[in-house]
Amino acid sequence: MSGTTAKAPLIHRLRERAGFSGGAAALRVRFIGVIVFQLLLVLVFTALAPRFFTWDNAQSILFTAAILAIAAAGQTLVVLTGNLDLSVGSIMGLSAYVVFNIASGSPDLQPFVILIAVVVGVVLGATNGFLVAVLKIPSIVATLGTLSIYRGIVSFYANATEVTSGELPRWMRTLAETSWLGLSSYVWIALVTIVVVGTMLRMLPWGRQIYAYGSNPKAAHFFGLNSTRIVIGAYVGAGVIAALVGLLLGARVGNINSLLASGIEMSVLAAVVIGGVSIWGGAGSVYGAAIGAIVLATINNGLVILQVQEFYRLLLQGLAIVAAVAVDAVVQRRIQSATKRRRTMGADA
Amino acid sequence: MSRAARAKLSDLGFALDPDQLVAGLTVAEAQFVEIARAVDTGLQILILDEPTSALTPDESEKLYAVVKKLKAQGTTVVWISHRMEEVRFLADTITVLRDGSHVRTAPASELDDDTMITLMVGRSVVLEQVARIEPLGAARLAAQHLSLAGVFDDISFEVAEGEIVGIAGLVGAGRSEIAQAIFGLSPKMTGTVLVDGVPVAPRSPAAMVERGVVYLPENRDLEGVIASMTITSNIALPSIRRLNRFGFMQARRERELATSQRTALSIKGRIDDLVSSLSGGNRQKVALARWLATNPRVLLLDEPTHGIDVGTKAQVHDIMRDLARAKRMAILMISSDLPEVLAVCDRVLVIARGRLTADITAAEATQERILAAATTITAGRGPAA
Repeated sequence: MSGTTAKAPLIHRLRERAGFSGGAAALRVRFIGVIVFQLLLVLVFTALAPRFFTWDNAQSILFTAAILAIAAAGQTLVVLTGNLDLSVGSIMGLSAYVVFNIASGSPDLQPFVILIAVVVGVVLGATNGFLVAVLKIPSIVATLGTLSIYRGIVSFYANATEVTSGELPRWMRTLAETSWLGLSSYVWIALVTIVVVGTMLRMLPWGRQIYAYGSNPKAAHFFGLNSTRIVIGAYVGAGVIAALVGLLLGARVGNINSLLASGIEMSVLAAVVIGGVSIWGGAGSVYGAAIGAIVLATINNGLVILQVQEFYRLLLQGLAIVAAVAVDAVVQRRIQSATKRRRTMGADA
Repeated sequence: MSRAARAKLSDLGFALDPDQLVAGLTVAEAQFVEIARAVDTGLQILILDEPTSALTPDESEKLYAVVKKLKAQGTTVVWISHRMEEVRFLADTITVLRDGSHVRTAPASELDDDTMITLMVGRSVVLEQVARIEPLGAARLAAQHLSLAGVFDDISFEVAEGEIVGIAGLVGAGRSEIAQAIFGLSPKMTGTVLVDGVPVAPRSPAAMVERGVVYLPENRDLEGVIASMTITSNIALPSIRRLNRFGFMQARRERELATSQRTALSIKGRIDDLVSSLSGGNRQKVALARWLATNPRVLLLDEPTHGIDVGTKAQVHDIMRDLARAKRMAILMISSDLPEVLAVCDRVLVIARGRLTADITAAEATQERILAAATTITAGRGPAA
């Protein structure tokens, strides 16, 4: 082994190209792949329906994508740890209903809606995290349970009543209708959220720990990382973000009933997965997830313009998810085989 | 079916109950079942990859016998191994590989050990025993009456400042478990652990790292490194809190840390390379580097040179000696490689079935004595020697 690098750097580099560092390369290709796919979508839809390619329509797509992208940023935190949060929709619904109900009941509390939402998010997220990290319940089962439980709480609490937009704090209603520089305030909020979460993941020790834990939970344990704290932290982050998205969605929709945002978890997960966040954890970024959200919003919008039936829309969304995960499986295998090949070589070297 | 299986197993010289689940077997027994299954298929070529790495000497002997028997029946056996003795004992033809390329194939009689090592490493390597000159200091790590129900019982020993202590014993004797418990991975352990005379509670790895006690796990790829992250990230991970400024990570300081460790341990590759692109030996160095970056006081090393080529192995030994002598660390090394234990350690602890059966100085230690203590069936309590 000694001397190879010095003697044959070219061979070494070629080997790397051939797949020894295949993991990183594959992930880059994956990210570029999503962008290319988005461009293809735009081309196809424009060709089929010229009015797809207008500024108005772009605004509409970005607005839909904004809510999805913020929620996807939260989901990304959890998926990076190798877990899932299926309860996002229920957290959004519960948070929106509880917060606006409190705010409409006692106007004194109106300035604190964000704080209340954060508290709701922390509690619900921490509950998810506790089930997964402490009780070691597989996340898909644990959050499937809380999906029903949280929704059940809203139904019980709402008792078939609604909070209407007239009862919401005025500034929230105004915000929902404001545009800056031609784009809805929600698009800007989404941008800020994504950059903030992205920066936190990159710059804070917490972010590094999430990636480390997601890449190799066992090694992270031996590194002295507190896996319980990392997983609960990710769920709390996701919970808080979902609770805040609930507010945004509620302010936009106006009439908040117990069914707000139900079923949205599929779209959020789809955005994350299409955006290249590995379902096995440890790889991907909030930026990818945001592009995934735009892809989904584009598909939905384009199909509506083409007046395609809802059934086909679901079919296409499902296909996109399966295709994305299939590609990820290939990427994952490449990473593993690169690791394994090196390992065998290392042992024999 | 059961009878046929029993016949097959006893043919190969194993007495196993064929109705037993494979999950309940020892590593060795499971391996024998695997071989019995392979033999069953009218075997022409049998390839064994490091088959004895998890076996006791006794079990290895059995496997050698099976292999010789198969050979006599006309089966071609390819035996991949790091162990010189067994290659020497078994092989008719030896092929040496280095860096994934073929170096030489020759009849076993034409290659002596020195030639083989030279071919493997590209230079001649001797496992040298370096006489220690520096005096030992006070006890850095003291373990008093450590017990973990069903795993190990009443283990007491000390490792002095600047001392390298080996833990020998058979696979499954509880050696790794003792080191892991000291590292805080088994909070249920009873007993006292003192670091520099101060009692510490090994409740979690994080707490022990804080106290300067670190553990390098045996399974490098699954536990020792995060292969899909860069060398820099791996090295900096345990130190990120120290490298913060106002809570933000400092990429520049991380890179400086990684660069200095890379130089100190002569790790191949650039610091931005993924660890998965490195060879086993270099991964091990990365795994070690991340702990050295935290300036530990006690190093617990679990099979640090397992599956590493001879050249890097000697480098790791040099690094260990330097850390003990110059940095005054206390090093506890678990190893199944007895020549290595004898060459590197100042003192040897032997564990058999969860009990400490011998505590011998390097001068007194011989392979025979260690093996005798390691295979003691009725293990005595406490230090026996």
